[in-house]
Amino acid sequence: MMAVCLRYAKNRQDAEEVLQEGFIKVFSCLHQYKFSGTLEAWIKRIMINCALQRLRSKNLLYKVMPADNIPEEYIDKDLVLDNINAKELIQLVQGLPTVCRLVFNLYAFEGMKHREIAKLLNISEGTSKSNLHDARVLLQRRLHEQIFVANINSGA
Amino acid sequence: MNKNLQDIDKIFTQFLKDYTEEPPPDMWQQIENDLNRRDAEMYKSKYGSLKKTVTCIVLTCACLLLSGALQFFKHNNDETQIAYKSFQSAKKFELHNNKKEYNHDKEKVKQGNAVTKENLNDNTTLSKNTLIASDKIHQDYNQIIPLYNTPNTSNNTQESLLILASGTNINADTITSSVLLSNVLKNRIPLNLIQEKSRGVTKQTITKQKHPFYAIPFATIDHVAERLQQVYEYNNENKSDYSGREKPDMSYTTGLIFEYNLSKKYALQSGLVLSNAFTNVSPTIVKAVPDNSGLYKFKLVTSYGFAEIKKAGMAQQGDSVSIIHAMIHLQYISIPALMKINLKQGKINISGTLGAAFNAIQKDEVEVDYATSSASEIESIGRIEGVKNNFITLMAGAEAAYRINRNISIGVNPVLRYAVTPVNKGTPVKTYPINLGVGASVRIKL
Repeated sequence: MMAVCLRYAKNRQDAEEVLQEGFIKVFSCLHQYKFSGTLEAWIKRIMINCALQRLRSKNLLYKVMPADNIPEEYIDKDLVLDNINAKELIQLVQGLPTVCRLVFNLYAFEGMKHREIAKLLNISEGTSKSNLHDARVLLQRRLHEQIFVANINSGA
Repeated sequence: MNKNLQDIDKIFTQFLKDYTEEPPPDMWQQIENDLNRRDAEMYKSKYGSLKKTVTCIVLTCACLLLSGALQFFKHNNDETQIAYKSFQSAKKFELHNNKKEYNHDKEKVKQGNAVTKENLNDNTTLSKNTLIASDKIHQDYNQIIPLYNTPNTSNNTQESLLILASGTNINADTITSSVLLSNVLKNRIPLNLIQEKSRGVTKQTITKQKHPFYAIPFATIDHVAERLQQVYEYNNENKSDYSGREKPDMSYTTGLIFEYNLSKKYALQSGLVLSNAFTNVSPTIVKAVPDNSGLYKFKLVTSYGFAEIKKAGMAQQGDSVSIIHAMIHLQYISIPALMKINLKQGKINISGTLGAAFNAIQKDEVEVDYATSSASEIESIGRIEGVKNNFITLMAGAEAAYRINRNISIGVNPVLRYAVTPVNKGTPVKTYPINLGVGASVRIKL
């Protein structure tokens, strides 16, 4: 669950707070678990809701940084495998603008449709799609930079 | 390029799918603390509202009881005054009555024309002169008794005749019944109406005489014992360690009880009682122990709960303070509801009481005299962790009261108070105080 929280939070401290809050909710609302799905999925859902709630309360959900002027870069999957570890990938996700990060997480990891994401985040489907695109472009760009830096370091 | 963009999703999901990250080691502790705090807050708010409701009910009952007592006392006074005034005016009227009329009616009565078994019934309207005439012949019982014994004569008429016949032997009943006489004299109203009115007055007067209120201020010296129930072991100590370390000191109780007599034998009692219980703690060593947040603190563990010694400064693992002496002070206000049974009545009354009391704890403090490696200090700890806000006791008592006069009596009363709910919660032992007090009381008729 810590990994889930890390993906949704901006940094580790935020992630720990979300995790703590989430587990308190889990224990407080354990009687509401209906055994309709796995317990893990139920807890994960609570963690995500906590993360969203936290961002809503801080009014961070609606600040969008446009990524129109960022050029797209080609990324080789094998290069990523060779040069970047999971922790760094998490940091890349954390580095995304809030809404982009949420849309990317919900779309890529939770398998939600844009319609569902739009409803959950109270945005339009178009905005969701646009944010996903921005997130992908930003991640691609940053991955490229990371690989570039890693190559330089290994060359040196 | 777009396909590559979509591959970004795959890269991340593939890499992070099975990725796990360890949360900080104290995370579970923090969650547990937070859950405990929320639980405590929930219980506090839950029982806070219950406490407020109970307080409101108790205050309302107390107000009703007090206003009832005042009303009763005031009404009783008024009735007695009215009855007395009526009697006086009746007498006055009688004295100033026309002597001629009196003699005429007297003759009529003597002849049996005015008041006879035929015309003296519930529908008879008696003239004032006839009544006065009847009143005047009260000394001659032969004139009245035949009428009294007439089978058709109603109870109230009999009563009136007896009053008329009773003459100067005035007692409380005569005064009350003189209201009837006065009304008849003044208003010339039928006896049956007076009968109904007077029945209420007479009944009420009798009730008042049988059901008086009493105020009983009292004070007792108490011996406080404790019944301990082990919940969990703390620092390898069990309940015998606590009871061995703590000895009761002189405690006392004062209060004001109101008594309402239901009948000659039974009475209800309630009021306000303030109790102070003191317990001595023998010398002991208190070691620093970590709390939920991991901070080391000095906590004196008593049968009532934990008393944190703050002035001893920041504690480290392995630190300890030596307790030279400690005194636990528990102060609580009780609202008892008691049933009193009179066992013997006379100059010396012997009675027993049985009931329950709601106790609201007002003060729970510990005065600790302790020594560290550098100095010794006395600290007053204003709150014992674990002590609840209230508890319930069963009460049983006896009283031997000597009646000084009609309104005041003094008595000796042993009282036993046995707690049925503990005074603490979440502590190593649950403590049920048992309070045996012997004291004196004054019983004042209101």
